[in-house]
Amino acid sequence: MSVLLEAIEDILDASGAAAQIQALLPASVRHRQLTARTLLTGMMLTLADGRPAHLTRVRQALLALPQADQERLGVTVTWKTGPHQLTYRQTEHTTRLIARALAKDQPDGAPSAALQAFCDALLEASIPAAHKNSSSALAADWTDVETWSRPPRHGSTSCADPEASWGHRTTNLPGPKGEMFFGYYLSLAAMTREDNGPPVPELTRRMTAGSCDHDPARALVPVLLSMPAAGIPLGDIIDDSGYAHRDAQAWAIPLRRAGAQLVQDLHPHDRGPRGTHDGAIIANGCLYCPCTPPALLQLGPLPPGAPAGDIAAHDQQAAELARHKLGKHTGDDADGYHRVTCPAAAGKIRCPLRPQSMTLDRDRPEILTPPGHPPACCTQQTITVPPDVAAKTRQKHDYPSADWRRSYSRRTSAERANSTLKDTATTNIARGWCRLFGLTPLTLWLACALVIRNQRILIAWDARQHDNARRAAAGLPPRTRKRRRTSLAQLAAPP
Amino acid sequence: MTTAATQAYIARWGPPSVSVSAAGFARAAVARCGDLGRERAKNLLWAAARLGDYGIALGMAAAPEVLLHPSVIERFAAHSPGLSPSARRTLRTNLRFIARRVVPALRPGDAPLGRERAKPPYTPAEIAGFLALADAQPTTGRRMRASALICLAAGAGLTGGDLRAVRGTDVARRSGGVVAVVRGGRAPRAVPVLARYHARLLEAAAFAGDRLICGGRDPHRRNVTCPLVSSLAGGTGLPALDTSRLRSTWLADAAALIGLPAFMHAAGITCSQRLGDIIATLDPGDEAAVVALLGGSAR
Repeated sequence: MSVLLEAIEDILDASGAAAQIQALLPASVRHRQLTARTLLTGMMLTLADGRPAHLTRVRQALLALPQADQERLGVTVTWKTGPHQLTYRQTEHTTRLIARALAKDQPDGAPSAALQAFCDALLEASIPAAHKNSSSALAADWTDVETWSRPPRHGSTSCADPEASWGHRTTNLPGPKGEMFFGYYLSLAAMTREDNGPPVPELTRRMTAGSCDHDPARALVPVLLSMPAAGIPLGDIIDDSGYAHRDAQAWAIPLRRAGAQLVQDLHPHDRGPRGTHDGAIIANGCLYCPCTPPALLQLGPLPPGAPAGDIAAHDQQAAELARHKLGKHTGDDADGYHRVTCPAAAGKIRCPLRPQSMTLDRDRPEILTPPGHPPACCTQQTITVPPDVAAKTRQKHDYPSADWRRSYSRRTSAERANSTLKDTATTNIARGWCRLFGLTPLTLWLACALVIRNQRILIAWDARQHDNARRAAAGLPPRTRKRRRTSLAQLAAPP
Repeated sequence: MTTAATQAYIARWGPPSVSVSAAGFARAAVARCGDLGRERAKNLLWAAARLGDYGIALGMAAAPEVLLHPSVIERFAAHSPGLSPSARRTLRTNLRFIARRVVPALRPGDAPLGRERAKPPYTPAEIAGFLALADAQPTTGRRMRASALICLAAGAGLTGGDLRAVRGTDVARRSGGVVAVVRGGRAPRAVPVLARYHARLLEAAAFAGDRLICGGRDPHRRNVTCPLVSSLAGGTGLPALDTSRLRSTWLADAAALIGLPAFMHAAGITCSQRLGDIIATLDPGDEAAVVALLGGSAR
């Protein structure tokens, strides 16, 4: 038995998913040659071999196994007429039965509870015990998955895949930056290192798929919330503005309530001053002194690859902005209320309304023109902040500070997971990769693809750790990736 | 250069090392500073532009009311990175100048107050008059104490607590001259006495013995010298006796002895602060050398 086949079978057995699916299948009069376990094994072998998600490839992969494995898995059985190998019709039949068993009675574009439980169990089983607690931080992102079906003709709604719908995706290719596609959204949560923590293998821990007329952010929330229920605590959730721009009730509040700490980019519409609370300015998820310089409140995140000078200037402004922030005085109570302190009372700035602060050193900013009619945040030492203030934008680090930038850079773990799913050299989930219609079979294949990706990541991780240990024994530092980005200044410099 | 030419220079000022917004702020501020020469305008423009770059980077509005606020100028001068101490002082002075002209309401000018100068030394004739008055005192004890006061103040530069604490035994002939030892106070030291006061001071010291040479029992009593000074008031013929002026007299005599005026003239120094910093690192020499320098017979 090959190492890969052994790993796949171990994952399937640890997850218990195959057995649960088998129990859902209708009882047949005759013995069913192809079990759910063998079919899923074949699907994963197909993907591990870099083949597309076609049932013919599944059969080929199973038939390519050694004879002993074929007999053990039921690919070859002895009939009265002699040995019988698995046929394509049997493969297709079992696949159809499984899809029917895991689908909703009335397909609506969202996965059924049984299908989601299958995905959760399979992905969780693909993470070795040694890495389960290495990090609680998850990077979340969604990507497009086109269906094999052609979209409905103009003026009609009928097509081969009625669950699919039109969605929007952003491309980095030349031409228009955004385009429409017909299919589904795949949302996933990939493990990433803790803030300032050591690297961890970036394994995909949770996924869900849904039609494009379902909000992928809302679809991922129950999947993530099921983790604490399963004894897996939520840590940092790093996500882009697509998630952060959702209603607070749809994304931020349920996750925060489950113990997650959000690290997210803010949508341009959510950045900057957004009202006041007791006179303090609500901006970027924090409360600021009413006399904060307006230019600082408009501070946005740095673009990727910003030069060092811009980064230093940005960090200086972010540090200046942080001095005007009303610092947290207490943690959240059971109802989500907390108290914050005036920055002058906390000794971060000098303000004539706090005479004691005017004795502080002049390296602090000074409020030059305090408000004529001081609001509560200026007259009280602390104010109480209810949970609905900045509910959508509140997060772990001050946005867009240097700490936030470093923490948010971990989100690329999810991008890497998506990119490997679309790697033309291995598994490419572009249109035609899977020619089965409907959400359920596609989700089954996607879950298997992510399990195989996790195995690839683990193999590469182990190899890198081994290489690092070997280099350390030789007194060499760990091998680092060569810088690929070439700046204009470098190009302009003489050779 | 005419004012119009300076205004034209200000209007076109904009070096590439300064951001556009900071240069704009600097031009607007310096243009409101009134009549300036070109060099002065250039210095002010640089100062304002540096302030502008600093403030704008911290998110402040590029407005004179904000950037030229005394608090912002102080923060810039004290905490802006990459400036030498002398540059900080120069920039602050220039920025305060601009602020006084552009936003005078933020920091009203200080009321002019008189400045204390060094007190003028007594002339040799006046010193001789004081010594004659001391000799004319009715009792031996008062004669001795008055002589000691003048000799220690004008001959060794002692005043205040140093002067009151000297006992007869603290004055001795040694190291080739006469030395008065200051034991307590802020700067304990041995001070050579100018030669022309040796005989009088030694006589007074012998009279005092281990008692305070200027009288009194407690050196911490502040008005010990007051009766002596009042007894030496010479009427209209002499100025009032002031121990500070006596010390000034000693300083002038000592400076002349060591050739300090010639040295400072040659060095182009008018203020001695930096000279003090330098001398603090030098060896003051042993007592014999000091006595030879300051306690010689030339004066």
